Parts: sequence; structure tokens; C-alpha cells
Amino acid sequence: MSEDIWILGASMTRFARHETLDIVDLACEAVSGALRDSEVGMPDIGVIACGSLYSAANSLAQQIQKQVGQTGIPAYNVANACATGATAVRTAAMAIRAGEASLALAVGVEKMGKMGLLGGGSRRPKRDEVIYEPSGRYGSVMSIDGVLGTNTMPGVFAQAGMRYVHDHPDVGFEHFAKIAYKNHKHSTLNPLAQYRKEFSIEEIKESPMVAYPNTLLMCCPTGDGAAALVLAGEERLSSLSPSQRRRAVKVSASVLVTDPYEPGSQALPDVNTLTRNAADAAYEQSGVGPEDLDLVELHDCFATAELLHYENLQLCEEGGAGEFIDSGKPFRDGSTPVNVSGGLISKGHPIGATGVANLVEVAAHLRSEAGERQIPGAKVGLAHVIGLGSTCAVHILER
Amino acid sequence: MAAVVEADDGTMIRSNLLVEPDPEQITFPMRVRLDIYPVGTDSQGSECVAFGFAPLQGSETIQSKSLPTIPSLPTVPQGAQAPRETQVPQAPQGAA
Repeated sequence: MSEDIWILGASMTRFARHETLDIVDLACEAVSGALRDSEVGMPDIGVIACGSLYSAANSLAQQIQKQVGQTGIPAYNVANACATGATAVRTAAMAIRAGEASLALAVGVEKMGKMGLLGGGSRRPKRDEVIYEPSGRYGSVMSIDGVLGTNTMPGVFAQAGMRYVHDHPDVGFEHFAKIAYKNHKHSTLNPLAQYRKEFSIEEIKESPMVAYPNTLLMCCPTGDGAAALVLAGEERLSSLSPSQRRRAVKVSASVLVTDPYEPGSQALPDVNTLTRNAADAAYEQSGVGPEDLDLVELHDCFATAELLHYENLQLCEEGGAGEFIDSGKPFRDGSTPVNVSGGLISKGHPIGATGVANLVEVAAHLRSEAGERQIPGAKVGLAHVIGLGSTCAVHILER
Repeated sequence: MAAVVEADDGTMIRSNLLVEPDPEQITFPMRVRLDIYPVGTDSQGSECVAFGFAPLQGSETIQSKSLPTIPSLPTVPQGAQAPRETQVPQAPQGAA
């Protein structure tokens, strides 16, 4: 990296199903919070990057500016699957490194409501008369999801988890349930989480099966929410007040990768290789090792995903993911707390907001401002997201 | 049941296992064979078939099983790629 990037301000809305707030309202709430937190105003901001998977085409960054301040600055509207928010952060950081701004605003927002299962393509509408005619790239005569395997997110991540079980027979249903138990338990201490209810492992195992081995309580919900960061370059930070400098959090690594070719990855998306590549690069860039991490916010869209990423992020040894959760290490009082916020499973996953919100969470701990769920003395944290397609972002923050 | 089948040559295939949708039906490794099955009939009576994989039973091997005959196929216009559902690949052996 060239100029060091710092988080000057951070804020997020509660993740929930907000009946009365629209997507601009949510984004503005987060942006206003981040500006207040950083003690700067819109006239100070040199660039804005807004991530929203489903609304990036609606000039959302410009709509936000019409509410919080139209200063004519460059605006970027980005979409990158579940890595959308992290991509907005990267876009803002790159503008600073490029010398185009010294303060930048990154916001991620999504309004999903009860969107239901994602991925897999839409079913063709039912008609009275159906004539099979080849269409599309593959000449199919009907929607193939559910006929030739599945591309829905619960199905894909169920299969990714079962692939790990295939290779590691000591891992099973109980381990995935234990991960969901942990994240639901963690969320009870997070006032901004979509759900704040603890469930027993038995309740999790007995909740409706979505895609084996992920039951309903092992799957993230859809929802609404926003998160925002104000980023500062090293030079600009040095000119700010002592109180602003004291609370600033250093971005020691910012990595974004896509998936390299792997045999079989078009049959089953490979969520592992790109996460490993991103983690390797982030550890190299920051000079921090996995053993130095005081907390990790990783992309637990499903319990199976979290288990895979223990190994991908080198939080445990190869093949040791089952033992890792059994040992209690990823619990809040363990040696490597994972998803203290409640994670996507319980904090929620409004897609565009997710990759910003996990940085908001890590920054809160590093500033000792995480309230009841604070990890005592936290100095180093990692945030990870992955969007199928695929893109992976890993950030390492230090204080 | 949606699955990814790994053929003996390492090729991965997204498909369905032709078993009851019950985790108890799945064991690792699980030897399977290619099969086809009907998935719908259009208003003109054309049947659409898809491929799937069925567990090998007992001492059954792929060589002892011949592929069933495809009943009727939709017409593929000249220049169009044949729909996947109508292509008959070589029967691989593999494990889900």
C-alpha cells in the first residue's frame, strides 16, 4: 500500500425489517452517524462510494448527497454481490491513495425485506400452454434449478459444507449447529442485531431444514440496513484534532480478489481458494498473523460457510475446523472470538451494508466502544466477506 | 436431491441424486451411475428429460447397466446448441 488509510468515523443502523424507512433514509442515518463520529462534515469529504447490490443502478450515492449535502464531489455506485459494501470501502480508499481525496465516505445499504431465497434464477411464469423451445445460452427448455442440481445460496453453501464433511468425516451436523448457537448467543449483546434471541443447540437442529445440513436457524435472514465509514489518509489525519486522531483506526490491510480457475468450480462455486488468497495477501500486507487477531468478523451467510472459513482464514489448522468450534476458541470468551456481533446469521445480512458493517463492528472493539460485547483490550481485528460470482475482501484493522 | 458428482477423472457435475430427499440416503463415498428421468411434458406432448445420478446397488457396476432409451426429444433448430437435457453423455462413474 502507499499512503496508510485510517477509519475516522463509523456508524450503522440497526439491521431489521424497517417498515417506515426507505433505502435513502437508511443510508442517510448511517452517513450522518459516521460524519458525527468523525467530527467532519460533507464539505470536508472529497469522494463518496456507495454500495448497494439491488439499487446501485439508481444513482444512490447522488440521492444520499441530496439529503446530506450536495457538494459536487465524485460519486461511485458499486455492486459486487455480497462483497458490495467492502468494494465501496475499497473504492473510497483507492481514491485517497490515488491522491484524489484526503477524506472519503463509504456507505453500504440494502433494502431487502423478505426477499426469500437468493440465486438459482427465476422460475418461468406458469402458462396454460407450454411449448418446449430451446432458449438462452444453454438452449434449455425450462428452468434447470432443482432439476440439474441447484444454484440457490442455501443449496450452494450446503454442498460446500458437505464437501468439507466428505473430506473430514469427524465433522458433522452438530458442529454446524454449534456455530449457529454461538452466533445467536453473541447477538443477544448487540443492540443493532436483527435478531437477539439465544437458541439451544437442540432448537437449532430441530428448526425447519432448509438445505442439509443448514436448518433455518443456521441461515442468515434477509433484511434492511446501512453502515458507513469516513476514511482519512495518513497526511490528512495528522492535521486533525487530538480527539479525532486518538479514535482513528488504522486499515493495515485492504485486499480484494476474485476466484481463480479451479477444476469443478463451475459445478460448485469454490468459496475457499479466493478466501485463502485474500487472507494470505492481507496477512502479508499488514505483517499481522492469524495468531495476532483479537477478533474476526467473517462471512457466515450459513453455518457451513463459517466452518469453512475457520480454515481458509488460518484460524485453525488444516482439517481442524470441527475441533476449533468444539474447543470454544471462536466464542466471545475464547482465544479467537468470531462474529461477536452475531454475524450474518443473527445480526443480519442486508447485502450492500454487510461488508461495511463488519468493519464498523471491528472498529468499535478496537476503540473499546463495543459496550457489553466488548472484547477486552482488542488491538487487531479482521473483517471478511465473500460474494458469489466470486469476490472476496479481507480487511485487517489495528489500533 | 441436488448434488455435485465427482467423476473418476475429476470432472465435477452439478446434478440431482435420484434418491429420496433424506440425509440418511447419503453416505460418503457413494458410488453412482448416470441415469435420465422425465421432468415434464409440454402442451404438444413433448417430454423433457434430465440427467441425474442413482446410487449403485450392491455389486452393480456401470458396465452392467445400459442407458435407457430416450422417449422423445424436442426439436433443436439448426444452429442452436442442443439443450443439455437432451444430450446423452458417456456414462461416467463417480461419487457424490
